[in-house]
Amino acid sequence: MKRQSKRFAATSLALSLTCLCTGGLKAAEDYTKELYTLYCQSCHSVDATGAPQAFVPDDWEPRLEKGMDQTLENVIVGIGNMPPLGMCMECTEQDLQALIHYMSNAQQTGNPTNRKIGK
Amino acid sequence: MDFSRIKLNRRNVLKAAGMAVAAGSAWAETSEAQAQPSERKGPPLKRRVLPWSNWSGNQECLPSVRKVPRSEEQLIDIVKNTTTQVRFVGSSHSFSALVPTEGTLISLAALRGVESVDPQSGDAEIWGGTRLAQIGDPLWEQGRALINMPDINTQTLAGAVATSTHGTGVKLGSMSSEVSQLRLVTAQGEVIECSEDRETDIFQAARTHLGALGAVSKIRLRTRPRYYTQERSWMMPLEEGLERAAQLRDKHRHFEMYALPHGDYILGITIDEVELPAATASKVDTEEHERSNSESAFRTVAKITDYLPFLRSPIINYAASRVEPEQRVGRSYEVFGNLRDMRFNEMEYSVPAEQGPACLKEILETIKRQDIDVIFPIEYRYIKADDIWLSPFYQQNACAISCHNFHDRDYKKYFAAIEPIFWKYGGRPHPGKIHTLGVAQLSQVYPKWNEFLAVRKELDPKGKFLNPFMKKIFGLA
Repeated sequence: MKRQSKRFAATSLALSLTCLCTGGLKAAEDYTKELYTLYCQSCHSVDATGAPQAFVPDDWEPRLEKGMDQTLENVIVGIGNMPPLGMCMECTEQDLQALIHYMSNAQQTGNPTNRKIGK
Repeated sequence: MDFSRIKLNRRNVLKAAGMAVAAGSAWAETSEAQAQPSERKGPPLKRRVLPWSNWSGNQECLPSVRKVPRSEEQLIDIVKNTTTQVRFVGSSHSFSALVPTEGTLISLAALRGVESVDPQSGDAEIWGGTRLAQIGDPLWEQGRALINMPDINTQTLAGAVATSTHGTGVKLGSMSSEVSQLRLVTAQGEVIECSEDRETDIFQAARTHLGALGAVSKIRLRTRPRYYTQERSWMMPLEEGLERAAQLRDKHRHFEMYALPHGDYILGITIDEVELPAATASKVDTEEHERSNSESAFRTVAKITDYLPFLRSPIINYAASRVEPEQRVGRSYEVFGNLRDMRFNEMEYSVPAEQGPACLKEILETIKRQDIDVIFPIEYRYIKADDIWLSPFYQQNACAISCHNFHDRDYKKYFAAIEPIFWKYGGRPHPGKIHTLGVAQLSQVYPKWNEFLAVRKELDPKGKFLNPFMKKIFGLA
């Protein structure tokens, strides 16, 4: 009985930790998406800006070939028309790294675009 | 300043350059190549407090601490208990040194969102860290819209209000003039709610606060029923633009012009309210293409004239003469706000409205006479007078004239030649843009400067929110 109870407790603990980790990961992913929408999408979803387009790995390959450290540093100090930190004043280094991973990954779906204005 | 509004065509630029076509192409390619990541300098990357730089890169600092409060309670706690110097950052879109600090840098970016809209008054409660671009949609869903907007929409609301950010319109004031109430977290961690009939002196100071009074956590903003607008733009001879400026200003809800240095043309832009949207999505791709083309065209002109400066006027005039009229229709906030992907530095002064054409004319003549190396368009807008102490539009219907240069080109020589012209016409500098004035001159052109200083001293007697630039302009250095 005692052993069963311990096993149950261990299972429960494992499940809880799994849920916590999964929940934590989900929250982190959601926050990255929110940051993308707020700060990155306006340039990284409009090809004419010249910025590497989100979810188009070919655009990112030449950047990432220089290494994540270098790519991250370029984001932090700004490069070309990319402003320092991409204007994300709430972003930490980890947030910026997560955004680079997020945008350079082809697996994302639903590349949202801005509403269009007519002429 | 939106390049995409000036449909300067790169092909026409190159055509005008004649023999410089090949060279121009090569230079343009060089420019694109510069967009690739360069070698990193400095120590190896490690987890650290991130350095700060503004949008254009002309201001920078390394704060000892960065804080991003997730609630007003956290904000109060941080401001109250921080013993170092504290500065606030919005979207880093100010060109003057309002933000740099070696102390604590606080971003209100996480305090964002339109919290509510009063069904009676239509006033909207909006968190200070909300970017202007995030206000349009939620207001529209509730049948409301901002009364006016600047053409850059990436600023935070608290940042926009801090510096009297404005659009254009003879009967329309700045963003600050639409504030009906705001919440201010002081150096002691107290929360003050001020409005036209409550803490009135603080209200008059806080509606253009420079981040010097505390953290503006929440703002109540006047709105109006939602509306559609139509924008029209056309190129006209410079003399015609200067002559017709007052007439066009009075005829349209919004009117502005982009003057071309070294050119004989000026772009007119009007925006008026329209009843029904005639929006079609099919032409927008063309617009995006033209945005790129316009920027590429200006960059190409800049590259060519570095080597062949005598071609500056002919190229600009040839390309400008072939710009076709354009129009756009859409929800008001979508027509006002535009993407800014071309970085620049900027000086802006506001002169009395009637002096606008003469002031602009003298600036353009000076650029030509001194052969100043600039091709970046000069923006010309109108703003209605208000009663805000540090507003450039204090008791004065004004014309704001903005001079720019590319972020990676020297602006100091250009601005040094132009700034005295603004002084001659009684200009007041935009507090968030580049100027060289100290407290003596500022207190002359801003009649309520000393009243602002008195409120600042009362709210922050120990100077927690003062950085070196603020000490200079407040006479406390």
